Amino acid sequence: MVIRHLFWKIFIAFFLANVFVIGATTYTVLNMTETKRFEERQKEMLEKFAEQIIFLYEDGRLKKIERIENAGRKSSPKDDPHRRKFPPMQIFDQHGHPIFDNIPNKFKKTKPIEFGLVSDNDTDYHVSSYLGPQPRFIQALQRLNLLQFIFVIIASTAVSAILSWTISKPINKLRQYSQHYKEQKKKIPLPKHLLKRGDEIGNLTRDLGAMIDEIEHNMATQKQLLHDVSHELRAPLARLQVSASIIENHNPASAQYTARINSECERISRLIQEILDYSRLDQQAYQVDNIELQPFLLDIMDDIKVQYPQRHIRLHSTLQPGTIQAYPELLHRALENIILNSCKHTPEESAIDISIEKQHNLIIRIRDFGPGVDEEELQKLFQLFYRAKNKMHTEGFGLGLGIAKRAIEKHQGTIQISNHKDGGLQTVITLPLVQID
Amino acid sequence: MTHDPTPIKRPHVLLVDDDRELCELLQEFLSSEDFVVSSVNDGQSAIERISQDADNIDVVVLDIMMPQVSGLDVLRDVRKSKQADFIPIIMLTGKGDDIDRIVGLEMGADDYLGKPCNPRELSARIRAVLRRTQQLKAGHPGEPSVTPEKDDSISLFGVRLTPANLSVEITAKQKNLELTGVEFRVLYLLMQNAGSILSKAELTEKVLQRKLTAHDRSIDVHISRIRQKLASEAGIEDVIKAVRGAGYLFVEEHKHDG
Repeated sequence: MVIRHLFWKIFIAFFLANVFVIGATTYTVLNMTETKRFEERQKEMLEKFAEQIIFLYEDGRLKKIERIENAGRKSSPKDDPHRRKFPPMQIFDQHGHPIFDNIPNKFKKTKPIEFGLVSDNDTDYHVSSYLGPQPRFIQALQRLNLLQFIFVIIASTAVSAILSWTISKPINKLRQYSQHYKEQKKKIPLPKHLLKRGDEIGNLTRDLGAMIDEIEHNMATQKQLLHDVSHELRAPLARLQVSASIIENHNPASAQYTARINSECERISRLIQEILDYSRLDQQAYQVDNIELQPFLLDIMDDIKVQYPQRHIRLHSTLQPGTIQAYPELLHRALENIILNSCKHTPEESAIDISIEKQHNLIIRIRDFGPGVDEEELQKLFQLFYRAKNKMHTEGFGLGLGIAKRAIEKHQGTIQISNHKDGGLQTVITLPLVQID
Repeated sequence: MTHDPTPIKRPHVLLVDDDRELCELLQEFLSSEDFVVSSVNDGQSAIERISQDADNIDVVVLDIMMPQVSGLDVLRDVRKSKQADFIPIIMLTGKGDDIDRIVGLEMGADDYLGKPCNPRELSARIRAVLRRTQQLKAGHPGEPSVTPEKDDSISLFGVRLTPANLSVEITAKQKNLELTGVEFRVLYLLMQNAGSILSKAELTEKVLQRKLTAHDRSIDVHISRIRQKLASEAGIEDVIKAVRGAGYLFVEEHKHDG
């Protein structure tokens, strides 16, 4: 499972770190104290035992001790009631002779504890013994109060949660803010308490604010520029056209040239319009609407028939009635541009076939019966201002298909142009049936 | 014109555009095309001029894109006022500003032209609009061939159209429906041809006296306005049908009576 939320990431990291640190500390402390206590207790116990043995020895009750060297080692400690009673140890008198030894043959030697003892008779003895096995850590842990343990876990959870929350909350706030800006494209004031912060989050907030201001400024500039371009370039064109017509009225012989001036002006005007359309594609916030594709296409075809009354544009649809979500304005422009493109580049009497089909996507195919396009040119068709070598007409600027592509991409769809195997150009558009975000 | 008994009076065109130089050039051009031309360069003066001089202005050519008081504001104001609501208005809109066009038509503009345009096209539109108004005032709402002598009233579904006085009477309620000149002509043509489809191209040519162009929504806007008015004022619905790819149809009465 992938953890996506910063809150949980930080929380889990802190929590684990907390638990680990607490665990490690507890272990070390317990270990140290337990070991020390254990050794002290053992030593006390050993001293008592040693004293007892020495008492027995001096009292003469430990007669068999000489035999220990010979036989004792061979017999198991269980055979000797004395040996069984005592922990494993060796006792030597002041001459270094062993007086007691109950260490079994197979005894695994650990760190020896050695100490001297002075008996009641003022005789020195030397004792050498071994510690029994250390108590397990779990046993030590059991000495910890269960309540204590629960408290540690709760405290650790709380600390982790608070830490994690204080870090992730302002970041979430900022994310909400930028999300809102992305969707609404409208500036709202940044949260004040975040702006006032002096830490990295405060810096991030201020940077975000500065960035949005910059975007707003750029957008406003560009909008103004577009407006100015369209206004300022068109105004002279309009004056030019009127001037040409005045010349024509004064001098009817110039009609041929003034007509040319007029048509060139209109051409520039159309070009300005297309450039504006293209640049608006990314700027404008378009409205999503439910449309029914078949009537939608029929309307586009009606419009095209006004310009190309001779064309046979045929629509074949296997679509059930129903609506899809789309940006009507963009989809309209895309489909119209593609159909118009076919109209422009194919013989006047040839047909154009459009089909709609629904699989897991919507597929719209637009096919003409013209000469097609060279394979190596196909991809370039979407480039701005590119015009294929095959020029049936010189109208158009090579922007139409670029606009269509951007418009379809806004729908998260795809558009492909290829030569149909039976001749002519085929454009295939796929539109996802999911909701547009 | 009606305000002047002499038929040779040159029609008066009021140009409203913030581009002074363009106004001067157009003034010169349109004058040579037999129009009397005056111009104002902002929306506010346009509103004042039209309300003061309504009787002398035969047609207004109105630029939509003007700073402060826009062309649409002027249009709204003029159509509201009682003394000037009959003046035909041709809008000049930026190319591609479809919304402005539709809004303008809905507000009662008579026609529109993309800017920049061929001035000859502009003078042709002005003439077409003037011809229309003249015919209406002379009692010919449809084709110019309709003779004024006979009673051309048409009555269907309790709506009675009388071209002589441009009245639309709802007989059941004994009240009049307010339609603009263009709307009257569209409805009259559709009722004249009830039962058969009129194409958009045909309607455009007969009513607006010009050719249908691509993306031309004029007729659609006028028809939608007529439908709204019929539905809200007279409670008559579904009498005008849109036939996709063909045009519009006014249904025949006997099929609808039931």
